[in-house]
Amino acid sequence: MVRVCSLSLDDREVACFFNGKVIRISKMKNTVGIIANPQSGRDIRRLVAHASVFDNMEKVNIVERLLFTLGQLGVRKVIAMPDGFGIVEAALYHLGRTTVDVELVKMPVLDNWEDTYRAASIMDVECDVIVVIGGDGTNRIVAKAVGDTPIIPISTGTNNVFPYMIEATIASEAAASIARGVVGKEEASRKSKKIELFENGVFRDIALIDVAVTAYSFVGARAVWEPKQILELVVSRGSPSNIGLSSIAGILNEIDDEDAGLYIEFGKGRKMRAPISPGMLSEIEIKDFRVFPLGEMVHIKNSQALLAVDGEREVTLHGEISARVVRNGPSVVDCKKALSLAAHRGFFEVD
Amino acid sequence: MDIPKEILLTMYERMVRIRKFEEKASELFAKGVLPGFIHTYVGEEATAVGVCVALRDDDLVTSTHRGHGHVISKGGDPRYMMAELYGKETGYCKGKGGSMHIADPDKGMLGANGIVGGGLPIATGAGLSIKLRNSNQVVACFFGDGASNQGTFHESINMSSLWKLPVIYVCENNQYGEFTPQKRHQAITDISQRATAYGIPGITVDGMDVVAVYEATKEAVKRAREGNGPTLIEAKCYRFHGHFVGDPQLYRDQAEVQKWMERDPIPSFEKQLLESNVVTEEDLRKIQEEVQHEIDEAVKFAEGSPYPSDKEALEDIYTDLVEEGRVR
Repeated sequence: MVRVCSLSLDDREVACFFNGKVIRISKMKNTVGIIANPQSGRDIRRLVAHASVFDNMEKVNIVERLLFTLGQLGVRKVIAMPDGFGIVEAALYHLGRTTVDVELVKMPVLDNWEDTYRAASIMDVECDVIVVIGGDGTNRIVAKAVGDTPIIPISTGTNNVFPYMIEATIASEAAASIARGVVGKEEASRKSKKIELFENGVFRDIALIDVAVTAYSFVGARAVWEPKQILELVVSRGSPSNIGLSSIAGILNEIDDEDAGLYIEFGKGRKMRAPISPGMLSEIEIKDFRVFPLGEMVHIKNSQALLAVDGEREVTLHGEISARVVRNGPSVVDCKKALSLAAHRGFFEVD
Repeated sequence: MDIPKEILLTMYERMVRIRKFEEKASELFAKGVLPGFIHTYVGEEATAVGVCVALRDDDLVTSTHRGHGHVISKGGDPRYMMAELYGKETGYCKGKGGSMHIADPDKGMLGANGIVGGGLPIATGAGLSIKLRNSNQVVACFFGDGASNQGTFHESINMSSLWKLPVIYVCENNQYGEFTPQKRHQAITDISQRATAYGIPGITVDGMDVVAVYEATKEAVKRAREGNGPTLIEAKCYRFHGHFVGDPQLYRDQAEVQKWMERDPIPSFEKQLLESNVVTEEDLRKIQEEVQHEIDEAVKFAEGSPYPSDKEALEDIYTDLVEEGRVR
């Protein structure tokens, strides 16, 4: 039988054996980060677009399954983000006891995006992999904070493109295989693309999936659900199977993970319909579009505009606005690949 | 959503009117001029105004013990409000109701209510009336986070969702049920989640942003008028003052108050209006001066009005139906 075991050489160094031979020695912390955003899944799309409500108790259930599985697979420590709802505390309360050490990041809880940013910055140093429970917006904040620490983004809604729908047990198996050093970060994750935004040539912000230049004057309810308000769109990826603004790009010219982005100008021209929100096939009109390579600066025609980043009105820019797609987003774990490697290396074998 | 300039200016004017009314009422109460209790709406202006400006004049509103903001947002007259606070005959309730019972049926204001959660069944009944009369109106029902734990909340929304009544349930989650922080009275943070249990949409909006509240309400009103039933909107906001004027506020940290005050909805909206070139600073200053003059006039009106006669003490207490012996 194929056998694998991990042996701790010191605090951080882990050796993995395969049929008696050392196959990997890596400096792992055997620590997984968990960021569960209590704010995701509440916005106006529940009213205007039949989007589902993903309540916090479901996030508690997800964390319970994560903690239980990580403990079973020998992960030493979990560092979790504290939040106003107490998602992780509730999970611990329900579980009673866990075999994994759970530590909440010591930080003030502000119940806004700063919590996610602060927690992700700390986890980037302290953890081998971070599980993010939230939507595109949550992952966008995580992307601002993390460097090379890979993330496993679990989707908590119906309007997401960046995070994927995955059962928490499977996600935690993949996280454990990386934290235990059985699967290398570089083997099972890939740097994602992101969009960088510039105002008069000065870097201002990022998006992971799309940047919409809008005709809105106010941030208001944040979401973008009225097609007539969209003037221009830049996407890092888009598929007809996406939901949200990037679906428009997918219908025009599908862009997956290749080294390219797509720019769209809205106006008189080709008419089509796209699912820009759950349950809403909106009619839109495309004046022009073009694919552009990674790194190319795309100039936005409208100056002084309220931009929606990853579907939320957020950034007002003045003057010359430009954007480019780069491959410098967070490293995202391919759970299927990680688990295949882990299984092949006997990670799930029992003595 | 395109918001016409006149709507934006109405929003600003009403927010300023609430703030100045409440500041004056607090000052008068502290001097011992006003009787009873006063619960001010300072800090929560964006919520009431965002909701009420999205309504038609003939739409209805139910309120809470913190109701001054709702009356002003629905177009109430500060003179009659101030007179009511003074207990004068010219007040909205002829001086018999005081701060917690102001009603103005002509403006669709069905009344403030001293009972926590008391407005919920009234709004639901009004919604049923609208449906039976086929009048195409809607009702906005204001209540707080504390009221969302009352049976009236659950019973009202259950009936309303079942009968698809045109009611917009607006939970003003100002973080405190009287003196108790939300964390100490319920195990959830987002009250909008409770909508799921009744099969209606529930959303959380930034209650400190008048445009966010307005956009959400417009959509909820549209849904209600189209016959699709109620919506629960949770507006996260903050009460800048205590539960009542004079509350020593020993239950909350001043740093927390300060943090929320940095998000004061009025200066934030001023900034948005100026940045989007809707108004000039001169326009805003003019509105503030006009509103201040109105409030000063309201005080003069109240002070110059007579107290009700003792002969009126038992008048207007019950409906005519009782007086006619048709209802016991």
